[in-house]
Amino acid sequence: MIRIFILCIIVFLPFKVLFSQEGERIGTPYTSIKSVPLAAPIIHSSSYFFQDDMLVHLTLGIDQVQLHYTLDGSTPTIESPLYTDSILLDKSCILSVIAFHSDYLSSSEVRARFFKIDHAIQVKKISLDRIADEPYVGVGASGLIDLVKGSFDFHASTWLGFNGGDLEVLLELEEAIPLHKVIVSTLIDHRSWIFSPRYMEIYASNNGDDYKLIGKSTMYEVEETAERRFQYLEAPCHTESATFIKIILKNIPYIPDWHVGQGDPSWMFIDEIIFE
Amino acid sequence: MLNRRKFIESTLTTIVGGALLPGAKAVFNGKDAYYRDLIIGHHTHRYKIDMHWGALNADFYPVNDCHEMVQDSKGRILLLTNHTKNNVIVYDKSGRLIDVWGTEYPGAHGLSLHVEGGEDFLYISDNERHEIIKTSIDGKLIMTIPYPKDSGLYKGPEEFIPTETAIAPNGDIYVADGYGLQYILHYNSKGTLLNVFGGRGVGDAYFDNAHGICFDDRDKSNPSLLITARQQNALKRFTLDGQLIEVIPLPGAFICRPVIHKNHVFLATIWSGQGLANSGFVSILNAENRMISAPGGSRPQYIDGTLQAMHQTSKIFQHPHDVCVDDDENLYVAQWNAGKTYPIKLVRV
Repeated sequence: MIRIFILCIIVFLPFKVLFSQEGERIGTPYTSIKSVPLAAPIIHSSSYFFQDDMLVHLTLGIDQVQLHYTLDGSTPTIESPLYTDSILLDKSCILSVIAFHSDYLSSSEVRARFFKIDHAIQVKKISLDRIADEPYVGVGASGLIDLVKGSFDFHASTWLGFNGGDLEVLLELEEAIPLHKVIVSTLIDHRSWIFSPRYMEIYASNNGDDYKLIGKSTMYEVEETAERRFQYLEAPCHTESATFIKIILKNIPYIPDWHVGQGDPSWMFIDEIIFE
Repeated sequence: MLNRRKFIESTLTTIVGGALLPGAKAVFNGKDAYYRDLIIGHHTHRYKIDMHWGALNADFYPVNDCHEMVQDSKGRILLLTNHTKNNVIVYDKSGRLIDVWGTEYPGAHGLSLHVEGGEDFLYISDNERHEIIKTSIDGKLIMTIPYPKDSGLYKGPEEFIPTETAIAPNGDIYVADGYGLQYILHYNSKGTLLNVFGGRGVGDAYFDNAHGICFDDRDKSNPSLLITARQQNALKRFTLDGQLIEVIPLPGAFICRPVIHKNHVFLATIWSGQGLANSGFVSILNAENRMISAPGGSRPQYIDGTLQAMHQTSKIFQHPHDVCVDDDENLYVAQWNAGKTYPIKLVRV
């Protein structure tokens, strides 16, 4: 038994900071391989929206790294496809990537959602019931239907920012379309006082006067621990014919108590509206 | 049953015996890789990691943010933290505690050491007291430099939030107001304001987060100032009288302060990529100010002379805030907002 005890000490020796009985350090164990995770790999794409197909690139600048990915929303494993030069996307998907390496623990999972826009909807006119708040005025309302996705840099002109209150977006289409889903692309960045809208309502009309509620997204409850990320609000809709579409984005009433800005109006950022 | 147990025990003894014998590595063959030390960094600057180097009992010697570190003329390593129980913690190179002092620096942020007449002096930038404090190496007050009222640029002390000092060989003091109005303030050794440059603005000669500054005497006949523009991911070189010489872009690297050791520049990089939390690493530039190694970060790559965007590659560091290079070429990395942890030592291989 004593021998087993000694064995245990020897085996665990390299993983402990060692101190003598007087509290002095008697060893300097270095971090061993397979004890530190890789950082998250980076997904490079020109946009998150595309019409026919699009090339996506992945990187993690460390030699001998292996990036495995899936396109169906499942968590990649070492068995999943191995990234080489690029990935060709030809349909809407969720790209998930995990990095593996012989000297490191695997990375956390990185996910990005890509949308294939099947048919470009001809928008005759888009307007907002309020102008975006300075300095986040972007390129105006037209930026919401230009298929350009913003980055995390919310100062960029791809984003429109609204401080407190709700937002109403009104679209007039060239011709009536059937509408099954509306997706609004938003940002969550609590450190910068940017919160997701709580929910949205979609109304449709064929004459521009009589609007009918045709869809509503689920309610988003603010997560205190939410990391900075893109947030897509989705509202399934039910109409076979819509020429005028009204989208009402409901802001949270005020910044929650756990945040440094508690009680103040929150910022709502949107960069794109997608119709399916 | 007994026999089986005896067999296991004797097998284990053999392994233990083998492990203890020098040169008996073969015993671990096949498992050898499991015990290998992780090595980070690139090219000439690669390191093993000692995560626990400076760890102390936090009940007695607590830290909040570990902001900056220097090595003094006796070879000791000094850490500056904004914990007022012990603002300065003095270690030997092995991480053994030697001394603590300082209870009056709630905003202890910048720490520079300058040898004057054979004696070490410290310059502390305190961004809550809104002043610079010069002390002896053991903490005796020598001089304070309050906010630069005479400049006419500041409405009051609260606008002056200095992050760093650099001391020229003649004793002139350069202060970076990195969290304040972004000016670089040039004083003589007595604390008289001589010149002001930088500030917030559009153009290369202006700053967004002029966080760190150092005196660059690698070109002995042409000394200059290296100043970080952290939010701009760039290092800017100025003449000693405040003329912009060049901008060194380091895309993706939110660099805190430049530290010159021999011909290289070492920079704690608090965030990387798009600036996400816990995305830091260490940047190392060569004599030509090209990134050659990034422990914890991506392999530096230049295409047509342009550094490709840097990013973190492994979760070793959270928010590196300063790097101290000792006389053995080892690094000590102090971190801001890292769960009140103590500095990490990188041992050069």
